[in-house]
Amino acid sequence: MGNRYLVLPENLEGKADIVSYVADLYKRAGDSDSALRIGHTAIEDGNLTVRNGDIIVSESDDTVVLRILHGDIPEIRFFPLGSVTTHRASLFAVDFAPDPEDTDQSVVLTIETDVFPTVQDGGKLLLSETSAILSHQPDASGGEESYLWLNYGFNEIANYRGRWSDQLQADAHQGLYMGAFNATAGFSTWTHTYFTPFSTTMVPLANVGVSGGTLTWGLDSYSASQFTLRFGVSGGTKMVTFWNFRI
Amino acid sequence: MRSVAILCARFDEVSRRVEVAKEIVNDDGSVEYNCQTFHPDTLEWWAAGFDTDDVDEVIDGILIDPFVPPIAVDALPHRAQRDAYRQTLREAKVALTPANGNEKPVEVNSAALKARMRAVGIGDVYVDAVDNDPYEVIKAACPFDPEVLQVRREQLTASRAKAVERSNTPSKPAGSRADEARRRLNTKPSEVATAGRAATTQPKRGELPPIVLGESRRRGAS
Repeated sequence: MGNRYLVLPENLEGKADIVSYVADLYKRAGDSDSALRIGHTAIEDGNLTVRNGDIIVSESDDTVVLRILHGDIPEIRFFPLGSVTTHRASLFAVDFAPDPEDTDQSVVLTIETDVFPTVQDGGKLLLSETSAILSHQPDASGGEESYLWLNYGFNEIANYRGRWSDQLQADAHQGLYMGAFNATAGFSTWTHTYFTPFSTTMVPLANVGVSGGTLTWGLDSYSASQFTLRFGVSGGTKMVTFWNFRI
Repeated sequence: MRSVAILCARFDEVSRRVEVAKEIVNDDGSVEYNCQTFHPDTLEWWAAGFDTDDVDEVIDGILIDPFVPPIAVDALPHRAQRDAYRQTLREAKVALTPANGNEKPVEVNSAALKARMRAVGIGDVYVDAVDNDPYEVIKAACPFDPEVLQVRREQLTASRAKAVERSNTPSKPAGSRADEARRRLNTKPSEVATAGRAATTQPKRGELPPIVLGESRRRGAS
């Protein structure tokens, strides 16, 4: 016996069975739902057009997991199944130009809240005719936006909004490791050891200063696991800043 | 360098880092003082990275590492080379430990040592810490959880397996890469887009009328 999807029950793989099919018929009759339903269908060498309506992909219990919306801003919404259902992903195209006289066609992939009025709240990738933005914009959760904006108003200019970590290493393949600390008085050398040896050598770009004076200093040694600074005098607290990159 | 003595260790509450003071005797007999700092997570990372659960060996390795030639940058993914580096660290510890066989100077806890530290301007927080065993201070400040070690070890093993696999894959000769780049430059974008579909017959856009679904429902609703 086939069901509304014209699928044999043994091939349902956990989807609708005959009981739920009858229940669905009952529900449809109650709702006066007489819309056309088709099972497995192939469109050979042709287009599928939905005029003035959305395309909806749902689970057998009508939970929507994907929706292609109609309207003048083409949009695809993704509703990931999981314990957290407060957010959704959206892919849409829009004219990004602030001036109505201009055009800047763009496509946006973003995480936003799923409750009206929808608010941008999470990661965002915006690719437009004039620039590209990789952003995290927690407008609902709260916090500052951070982004990497390529071609930021001027050709080839990249703008980074955000801040850098202070002496934090996530793994051995991290590309940058930076921070600032005070080297206390009395030591002629100061060694900063990384969390774990990097996969390749980290090259330090360091700076050392003392308040109200000058200081001679140098890089004593560096490797994938540490760097050591040497000070001309051991007295006084030194301010050390560093920006290390992996080669 | 003639010897390295571990004087003391302390956990700095402001920077949230372990600080270890060392007394270094150079080949010419001159003495200088070094401070080494590391994050408390370093012990677990280091243990996972060098495949050991021996916390004393891990601390030895971290403290002696700045005084040995650095491990080759492509050696860490290979177990044999990691083991060789561990051996290097062990030998360096023996070679650089002061003649009395202790990590600390002979006059540990003595007024003379503290006086030497104060003489070069080392602060009281370090001088007072001399009274404590530096290894015990480090162990108290740094977590060393077997479950965390296992997670870090699995993470490192996976990334190292990829690194070894990459190093074993022969790269294309430069000539063939250049030829490939040249071929791509000479290929029109339209040819690239349709190259994979050449075997099938594609309808021209607009040639066939669209199949429209939902018409009856829309008409019925109006």
